[in-house]
Amino acid sequence: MTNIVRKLKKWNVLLLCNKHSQLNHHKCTVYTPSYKRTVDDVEEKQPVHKFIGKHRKRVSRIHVCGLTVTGALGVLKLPLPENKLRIPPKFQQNYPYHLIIDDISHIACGYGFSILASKLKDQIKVWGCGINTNSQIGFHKSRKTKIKKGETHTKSYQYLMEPTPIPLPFKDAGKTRVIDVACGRAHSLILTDKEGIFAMGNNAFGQCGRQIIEGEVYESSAKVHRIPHERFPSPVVKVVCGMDHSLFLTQTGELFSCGWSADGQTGLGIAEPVPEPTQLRGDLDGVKITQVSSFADTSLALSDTNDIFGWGSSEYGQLACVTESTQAMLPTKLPFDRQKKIIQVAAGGTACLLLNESGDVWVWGYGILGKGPNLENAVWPRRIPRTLFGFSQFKPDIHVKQIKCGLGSFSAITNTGELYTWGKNKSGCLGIGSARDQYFPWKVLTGFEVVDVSCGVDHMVVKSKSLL
Amino acid sequence: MVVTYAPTAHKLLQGVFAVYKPSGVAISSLLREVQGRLVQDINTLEQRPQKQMILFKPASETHLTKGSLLDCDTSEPSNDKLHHMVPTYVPDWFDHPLVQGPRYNNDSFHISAGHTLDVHACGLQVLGLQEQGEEILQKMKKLNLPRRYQVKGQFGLASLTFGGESRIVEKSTWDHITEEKITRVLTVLQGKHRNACMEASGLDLSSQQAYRLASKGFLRPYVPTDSVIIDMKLTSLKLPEFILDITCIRESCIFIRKIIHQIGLELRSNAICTQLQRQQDAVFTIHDELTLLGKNVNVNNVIDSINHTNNILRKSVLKRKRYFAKTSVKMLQQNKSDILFPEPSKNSTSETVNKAFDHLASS
Repeated sequence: MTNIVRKLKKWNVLLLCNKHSQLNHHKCTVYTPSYKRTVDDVEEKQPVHKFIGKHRKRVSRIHVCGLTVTGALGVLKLPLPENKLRIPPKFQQNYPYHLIIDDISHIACGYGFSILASKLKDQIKVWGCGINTNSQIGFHKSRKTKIKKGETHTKSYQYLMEPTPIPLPFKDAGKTRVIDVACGRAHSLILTDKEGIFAMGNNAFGQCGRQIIEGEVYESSAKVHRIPHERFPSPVVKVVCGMDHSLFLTQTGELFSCGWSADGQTGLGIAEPVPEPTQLRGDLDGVKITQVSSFADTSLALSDTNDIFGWGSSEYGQLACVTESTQAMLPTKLPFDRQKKIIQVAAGGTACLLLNESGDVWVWGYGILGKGPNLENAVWPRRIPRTLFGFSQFKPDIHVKQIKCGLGSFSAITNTGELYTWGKNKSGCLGIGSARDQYFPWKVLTGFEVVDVSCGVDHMVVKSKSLL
Repeated sequence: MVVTYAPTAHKLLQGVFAVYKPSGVAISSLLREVQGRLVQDINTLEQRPQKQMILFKPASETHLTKGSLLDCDTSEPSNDKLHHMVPTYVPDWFDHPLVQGPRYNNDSFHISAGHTLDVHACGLQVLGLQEQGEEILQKMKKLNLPRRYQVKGQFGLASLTFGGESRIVEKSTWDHITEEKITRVLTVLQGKHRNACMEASGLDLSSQQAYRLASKGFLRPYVPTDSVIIDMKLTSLKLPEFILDITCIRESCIFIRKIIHQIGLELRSNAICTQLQRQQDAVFTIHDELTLLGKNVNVNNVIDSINHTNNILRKSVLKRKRYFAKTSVKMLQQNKSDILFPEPSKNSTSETVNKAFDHLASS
C-alpha cells in the first residue's frame, strides 16, 4: 500500500475517498488498481493466427452502378432475381456493386453497354455486356431460336445480361495484347498492339472505318472490320469514340477521324459522313497531340505545347469562346489562359472538364457543372474548389489525378484513390447511394482504392485495387 | 494580477477552464480533487474581517471615542453615566473561523465537467465552475466543435474491451503491415464519415447554400448524429506499435478504441489501443500554459485560465459561421424563443452572428 501511495504522490495526484473529501481532510489516498497489462498464462498459450502473408499481391476489382435493365452492368440477378418473392427486382443500382470478373485492365462504357478487356495474351481478351441491337458487342449465337436443317444460324442475342467473351478474328491471338477499348452510341473499337483496330457495330455513318452500305442490317451481324496499323503513318496509340464518330491518335501525335460529320464532329470541314479514317487539319497542322477526349458530339484535344483544340457541336456553349454558331467544323485552338501545365481534358455531353498540374479541375459548358445549382452555364472555364475533393487543413496534399465525363455526369479520381462524382444522376449512375442529382463533387464509397473509371449515359464502371 | 482577498477570488472563480486528467483517475475523483485544492487554497488567502455586532452598553464602560455610535455630550453629570446605554460595535464571536470552521468548503464551489474522458483515457478535460461555467459548458456541447486525440496502439492483439487492460482474445501476425497500407485503410474508413458529416448538416444538398458552405469546408454536423470522424492520420509507425491522430465530433472513448480495432481487422491483423490522450477540445489545447496539472490547481492559476478562456472562446466561436437546418427555422417561427441562433437572412453578416455570441460571452 505504501509503495502505491508514494507512486501516486510522485505523479502529484491526490485522491480522496468520499468520507475524507467531505471533511476536507487531505490525507487519505484511495487505492486505484493499475491497468498495466500483465501477461498471464492464458494469453501466453494462445496461438498466433496468420491471416495474410507479407508478399500478397493486390487484386483488381470491378464495380458497376447505374441502370440494370439494359444489362450494361453485367449482373443478371439485379433486374431478374431468381426468387422474385423474396428479393424484389432492382432497376437502378445506386451504389457500386462488385462485378466478379478477374484480370481486367481496360474498361469502356458506351450508350447502354460496356466492354471490359484484359491485357493478357489469352484467346479470350474482351468481354462485353449490355445492348447488342447493333451488334456492337459482337455476334453471340442465340440458343432460343430453332434452326431448320441446312440453314445457317443468323440470330444473335439482342441484350447480353452478363459479361460474355467477344469473338474477334485474330490472326494469332497468342501474340497480341489489347491496348485500348472505346465505345460509342452503337459501335465499339478495340485497339491491339500488333493486329490493329477491330471495329464492330453500326456503320451507318462510316464510324467503323469501312464503306457505308445502304440498307445494311446491323442486327445479328457478325461483321468485324479490322483496320491495320499500316494504314496510319505510325502505330495507333489511343482510340476514342464519340456518339457516331471515331478518333484515332497515333504515336507521332497525328489525329485521324471517321464517322458522322453533320455537326463537325470529325473536324474535317465537311458535313457528309466520312467512311475512311482521315487526318485532321485546321489548327492541328504540325501539332503533336498527346490526349483526345470525346463522348457525344464535341471533341477536345490536348497538345504537346499545352494548347487545347476543340471541334464539333457547340450547341450548349462548349466552344462558345471561339464560335458563336452551334458547331465548329474545323479544330480551333481554345484561347484559355494557361499558366500551369494542363494534364488532361475531358469532353462530355453538354460540358467539358480540364485538369491541370496542381490538381485543379476547371469546368465549362452547360448543365450541372459542379459549382452549385446556381451555375448552369459557363463560357469560360471555372475552377471547382479543392475542398470539395477532400482538401482541408488536415489534408493539404490531396489533388485530382484523373477526370472523365459521361453524358450528364462527371467523375474525378484523386491521388489518394478516392472517387468523386457529380452531375445528373440518371438511374443512379453517379454511385452516391441515392437517386438525387449532385450539384457538387460527392465521394463514392467503394471500399477500395480507385484506379480507373468510365462513365456512360446511365451507368458507370469503376476499376479499383484491393487495399492490401 | 495576483488575487489575495478571498471574497474577490470567489467572485472571479466563475467560468470554464481546462485541466489535465491523468489516466487511472475517474472523473468524480478529479472533480473532488480540484474542488479540494481550490478550497484548501482559498482558505489560506486573506479572509473577510470578522463580523461586528451591535450591543447596548453603559456609557461609562465604553470609551466614547472608540466604537460608539452616537456622539454624546461629555458634559453630562457623572452619576448619569452609569445608567446611560450607548450602542457600540462589538466583535461577533460566532463569526470567528475557529468557531465556524474555514470560510469556504466544498459546497461553495460547484464543479461540472465538459465532455468526459474514460477512466483509462488521459488528457485535456474541460471543467466549469459555478452556474456560469455549467451554462457555458452546455452551450459548447450544442456547438459540436471537434476534438483531437492522440491514440497509441499495438498491432497483433485483440482484447475484450478494445484496450490494453482487459483479456486478450486473439493474437495474429503483423509483419505484413506498412505505412502505405495503413494510409489506404484510413482514407477508406473516413469516406463514410465524410459523407455522413455533410449529410448531417441538415441542409438540402441541392441548394446553393450547401455548395457555398461545402466549398469553404464549413459543412459540419448540426442535427444530432452518431460520432463522426473528421480526420485520421498516422504519425508514427514502429511495428508493432503505431500512433494515430484522430479528430472527431460527438465521440466517446469506446468509439475511438473500436475504430482502432476495426483498423486492425481491415489490415487482416488485430489492434488494441494502449493509450488514449485527448490533445484538443474545441479551443483548449494540451500544450497551453494555462491547462493545469493537478499540482498547479490553485486560486490564482484557475482565475488566470478562466480569463484566458473568456478571451479565446469569444473570438474563435465568433469566427465559426453558423447555419441552420430546415427544421430549426420552422421551430424558431413557431416557438419564437431561444435567441441563441441568429435570424436566417439572405445576407447573414457578422452582425447577426455577433449578436448570438455576445449573449454567450456575457453570460
